[in-house]
Amino acid sequence: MSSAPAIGKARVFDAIVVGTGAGGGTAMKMLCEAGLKVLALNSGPRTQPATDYRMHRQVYDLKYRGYGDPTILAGRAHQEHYTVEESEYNEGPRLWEHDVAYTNSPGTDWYWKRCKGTGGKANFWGRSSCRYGDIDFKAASIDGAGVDWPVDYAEIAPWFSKAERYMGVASTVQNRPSNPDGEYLPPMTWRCYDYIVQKAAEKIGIPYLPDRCAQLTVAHNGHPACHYCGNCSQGCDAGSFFSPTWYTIPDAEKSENLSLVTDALVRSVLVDEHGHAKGVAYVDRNSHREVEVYAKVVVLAASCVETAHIMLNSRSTHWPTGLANSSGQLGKNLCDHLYGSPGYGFLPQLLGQPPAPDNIANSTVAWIPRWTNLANPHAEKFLRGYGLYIGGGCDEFPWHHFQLQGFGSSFKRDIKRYYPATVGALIQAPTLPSPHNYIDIDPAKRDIFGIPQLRFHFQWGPNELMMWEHSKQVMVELFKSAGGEMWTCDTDPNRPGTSLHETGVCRMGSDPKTSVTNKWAQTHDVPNLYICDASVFPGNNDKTTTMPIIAFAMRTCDYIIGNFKNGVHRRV
Amino acid sequence: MAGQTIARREIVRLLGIASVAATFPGFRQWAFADEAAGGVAAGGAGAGAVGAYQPLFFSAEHYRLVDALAELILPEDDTAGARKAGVAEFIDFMVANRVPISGSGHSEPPRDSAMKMGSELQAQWIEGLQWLNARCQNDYGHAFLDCSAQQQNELLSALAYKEKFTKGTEAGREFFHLLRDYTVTGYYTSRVGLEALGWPGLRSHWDKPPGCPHTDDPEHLHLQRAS
Repeated sequence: MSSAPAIGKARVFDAIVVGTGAGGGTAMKMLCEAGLKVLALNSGPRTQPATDYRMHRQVYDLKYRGYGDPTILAGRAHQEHYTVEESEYNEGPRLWEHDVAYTNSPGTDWYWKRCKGTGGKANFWGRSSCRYGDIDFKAASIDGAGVDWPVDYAEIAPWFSKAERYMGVASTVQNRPSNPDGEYLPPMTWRCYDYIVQKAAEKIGIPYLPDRCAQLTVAHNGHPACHYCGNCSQGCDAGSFFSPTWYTIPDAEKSENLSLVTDALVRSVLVDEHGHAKGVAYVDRNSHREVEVYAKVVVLAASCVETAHIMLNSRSTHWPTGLANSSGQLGKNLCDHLYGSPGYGFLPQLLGQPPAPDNIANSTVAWIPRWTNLANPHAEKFLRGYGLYIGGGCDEFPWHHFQLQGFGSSFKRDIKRYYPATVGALIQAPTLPSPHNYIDIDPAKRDIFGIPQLRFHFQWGPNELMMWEHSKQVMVELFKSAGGEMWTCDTDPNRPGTSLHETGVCRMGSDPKTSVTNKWAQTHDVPNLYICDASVFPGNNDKTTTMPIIAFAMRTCDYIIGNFKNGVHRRV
Repeated sequence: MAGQTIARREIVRLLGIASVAATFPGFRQWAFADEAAGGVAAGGAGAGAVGAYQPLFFSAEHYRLVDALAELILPEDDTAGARKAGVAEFIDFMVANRVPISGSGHSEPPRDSAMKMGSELQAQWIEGLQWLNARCQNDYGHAFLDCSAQQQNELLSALAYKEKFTKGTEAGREFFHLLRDYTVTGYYTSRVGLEALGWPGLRSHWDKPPGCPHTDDPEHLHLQRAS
């Protein structure tokens, strides 16, 4: 691991990057490879695949069979549904944030999962990687809700290509206006139920297509092809899908321009007499000592809400309400993806079939991309649309036992008979920006490091709840069309935050009065402060966030590098 | 919320939960119990290496009852049963450590302390086993384990099948639900159980996913006609 030997001598760096995940890792790589001297700060320890990842262990290798040590977070940490998070395979306070508290305002139930190991949640992500299109960037012009992005598809498309080429994304060319096509590796192989669901969806006018999945179906850029162990959500042992641990961090280190400091919890950005960024202050987790480090440019990529948290905690005479907050938009416009299962049942065609390796890719092999409000933006009662991921088949545990009666040999046979036949859906529905959904600083509470706590204010709005109800009806129709039977669905959506797809708290825009950054993710107020995470996204849509975070971070870094070349920023 | 761990850890310490785990003697049937013996395969392969399992939570009598009930729910037939998978050990360990095996994979996870839920579950287990024995005494004149196979089957059927539900068995039905959840979880998280199920993920290297072998019939109607 690199260390920063010169820090004690108050060495000044060209750039400080806060966070080493999807955005921060990309920024480190880009800036280091351009020859800049970079100090990267990570809030937790170095992620070590050999000891922190699943590494082909089976559930029976775990002391608590995957239910986790009840003495960690009182057994709660890993009982959420979505698997891109802590589990007994990689549990505990080493990689996951168990110490820094946050607050939910009354009526808010935000679930804020933080991976503090280097690479962050992008070590364990779901890998769905669709390009955003103009239907997303210009959604406000189309239907009147929210604001347009300051960037359109033509402008960002080259960086989508750059991100896809670097990461390796498997999919097909689909010619759908709502989902621009990119540059793809061969797609994932479809399973029996994919074909059945595709036919059923076609009959009711719904698309069912290969997802865009950042998983290597063939070797790519020196990374080996996937070996399909299915461990992805608990960490890849081979680097066969994009993660900072296997991609950006080693690239940055190869440049020898990187100093990486771990266990450095950033508290605030420091400003000079002009109110410009001059460095950051962090708390060393081990000693609880506060340390100041300095640079010409500061890049925040602390994972969306944490980036805004740092800025809100960076108050000074220049920035009394938070750094670069002359617009008052800092912390506002918090958006999320509503998650939940709108339908779960089985396909009788597959009853009693031999067990099939349906989930060895652990991947969103196929999905139902947005199909609503395409030709007419007001065709439905709700605005825009959502996506559905379909999963099922032979999985690690036969959850369908809940649906079967009885006991004894007949019960055991039934569990096996239904095993290949189960199918369920996961909705991914974007929220619209709302004045009720934002973050601020809890005036009364500080975490154990003495840092004022972040406070969430968030409720699902009517638009996303209408999509949720709509999706349940769609699943009834889809099961009917497939000749299947729907057993059940979630009564309520999952807790806000479950998707890990929060966006918007430092939104980008052309007008400094209504946005925190310009279209380059450079703050309007502080020209040497940039943001490389989803906090700059002005809105959310039916697609996931990670690949666009990487593409926008690449574009921002190209801009920063240009600014060093043309003298806007001076090197040390 | 997530930041309250220090308080929670304190509570945990006071409850003495950690000490249960610390004194845990090791499983006879579980894979990791065999690590000391050279990491041989799980599920009985190392049986005897660690010695007879000493229940942490249940009395010897209740432990025998749990073991018998688990085997009735998932018996040995063409594949191994609950006993061979060490399900009773699993249940005893999870109940002792207050690890809640949730009632439904599709319900919301516990919002309150899982530990609190685990404590309530300990009481439910004891009450449930007592209910079963009391019911058997009342109906058949013996404790559950001394009843005939037919009587045991009759009682469990009355708790397991909707069409056989009667008034007065509500508590027993609720316990049966709990018992079955733990049994199924213990069995299908063991190597023995996953082999019986045929979980393909037991293999960790594939050149590529084989995919659907029936692409000539995307709707798979021929399979339905055949079954």
